[in-house]
Amino acid sequence: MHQGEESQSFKLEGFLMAFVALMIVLQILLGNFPLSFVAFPVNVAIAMLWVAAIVILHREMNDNPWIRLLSSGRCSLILLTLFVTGCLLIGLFVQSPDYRDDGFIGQLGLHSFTTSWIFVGILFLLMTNLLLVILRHPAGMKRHRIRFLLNHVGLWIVLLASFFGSADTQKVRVMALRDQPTMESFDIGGKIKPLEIPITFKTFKVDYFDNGMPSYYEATLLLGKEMKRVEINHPCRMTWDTDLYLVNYDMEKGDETPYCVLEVVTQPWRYVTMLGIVMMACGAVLLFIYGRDKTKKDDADVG
Amino acid sequence: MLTWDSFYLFATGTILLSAAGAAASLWNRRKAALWLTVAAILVMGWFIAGLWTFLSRPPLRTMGETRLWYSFFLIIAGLLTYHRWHFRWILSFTTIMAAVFCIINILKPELHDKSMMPALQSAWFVPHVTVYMFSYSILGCACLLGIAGLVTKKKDLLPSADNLVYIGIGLLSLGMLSGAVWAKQAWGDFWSWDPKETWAAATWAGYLLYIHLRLTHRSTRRILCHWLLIICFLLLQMCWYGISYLPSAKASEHVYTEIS
Repeated sequence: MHQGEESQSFKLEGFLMAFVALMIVLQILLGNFPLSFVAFPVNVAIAMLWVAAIVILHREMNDNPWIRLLSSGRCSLILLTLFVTGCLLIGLFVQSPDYRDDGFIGQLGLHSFTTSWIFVGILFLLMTNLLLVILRHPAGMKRHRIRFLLNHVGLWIVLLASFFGSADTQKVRVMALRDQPTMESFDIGGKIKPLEIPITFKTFKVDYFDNGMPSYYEATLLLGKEMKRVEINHPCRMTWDTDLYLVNYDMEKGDETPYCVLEVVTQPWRYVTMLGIVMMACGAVLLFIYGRDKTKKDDADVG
Repeated sequence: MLTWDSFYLFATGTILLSAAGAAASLWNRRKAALWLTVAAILVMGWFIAGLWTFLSRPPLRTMGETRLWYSFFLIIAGLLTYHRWHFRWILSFTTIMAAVFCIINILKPELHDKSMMPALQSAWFVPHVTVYMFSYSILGCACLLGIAGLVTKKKDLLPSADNLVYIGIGLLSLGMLSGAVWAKQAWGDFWSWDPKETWAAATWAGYLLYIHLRLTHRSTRRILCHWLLIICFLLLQMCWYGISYLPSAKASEHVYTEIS
């Protein structure tokens, strides 16, 4: 590595270390990232400003050393290492917002690390790096470029939708008693939330294996005036962004259960997520078909 | 009707044929190695098909059943690697690994009853688990190349490992994406940082790290790359069954694989 490149990479590592340190300080001072702050329409505004800023910086300041550093392969490698480390922390520490730990580990947010400033910050930088890498990718061999775009743009879209769409996802539960219309639901904190359409639980059907274990169950519901069926693995559609899931019932009474528990999930960003997933799936198939990237010279060291 | 009781017969037949194939490859009898390994795959495939028919459901639910597929795919992955890159030693290693998993299944078969919890009865179940098992086998071969590279200090194993990792991560991605779509259909979320998902993400990102390290440092950092192949495979073992031993994973949605 040349001397100039070496000082550039120190700059990058220094910046990333300072960034992570800042996130740690924010985490200790403020607690976990205030997700509810980035609900619609704030999230859309921030996302558009951020994308516009990156595109303008890429176009107008393409030779700026900081932009080059942030879009470098080295930056991707460090951020991927930080992401893997973050996943390991999530995997090794018990994750629960109710977990009580007043020690340093608790202060660092390691028991709800997915919403900590540190992990959110790493994801944000990873998405920024990914967007810059996409914008700076040179036009090369057609099939490799298509594979590159499907994998990278697909991943960026999935991350974007889960990052900015997280606060718009809402889950509430409904305790539906047989033949009694209800318009009440409860969020995870037990707060009552009104439903847009009244739900009436009508009938229930369970099939069993020989050993008495349930193999399949379904309920019919009246949503407003429309009769709908909801079964395990097959939610029913309430509105364009809301689905209804069958969660529980009185297992002892089976078909005669007097109630069923339903979950109403609102997730307006799911179409964006699905677009990213489909792109990534196509990219994954091309990884399988084309194999390793042979567009670069095997002995070139471009790091 | 094939039941779990006859597994030891089929496992013995499979491993003997596979070992004969491995021996033939060591003695450079290429054709014999290929045909003997194909025969081993057919024997194990016959058992899986028979068990599937007997259970009236895909045998993919319990840990023992996933080990069955793993042994099956491991021999296939070994055969493909041998056929493509002519490593004479690979069939011996895949045979030993497949034998270990067969022996575990004979000694600790776990209950293989006919029932399968309703949430698992989805069209996504078979593709999700089989592509995962196949990718685990391919990445197992990549790990063997990583170990071989460290032991023999051979430089030319990494390009072959790259090919295996590209195929493996392609399948791993398909497994993860199909799992996300299925989770949305069954529970309402594409991703919930469930312990299994978390370790799957760590494994996936680990292999991405390997791919990008190889793209940016093709002729350097070779030892690091060999180590990464091994570390990522260890992460994969954590994702597959290691999480059962972690206190942080007790509430996982995926623990059904432990319950019989």
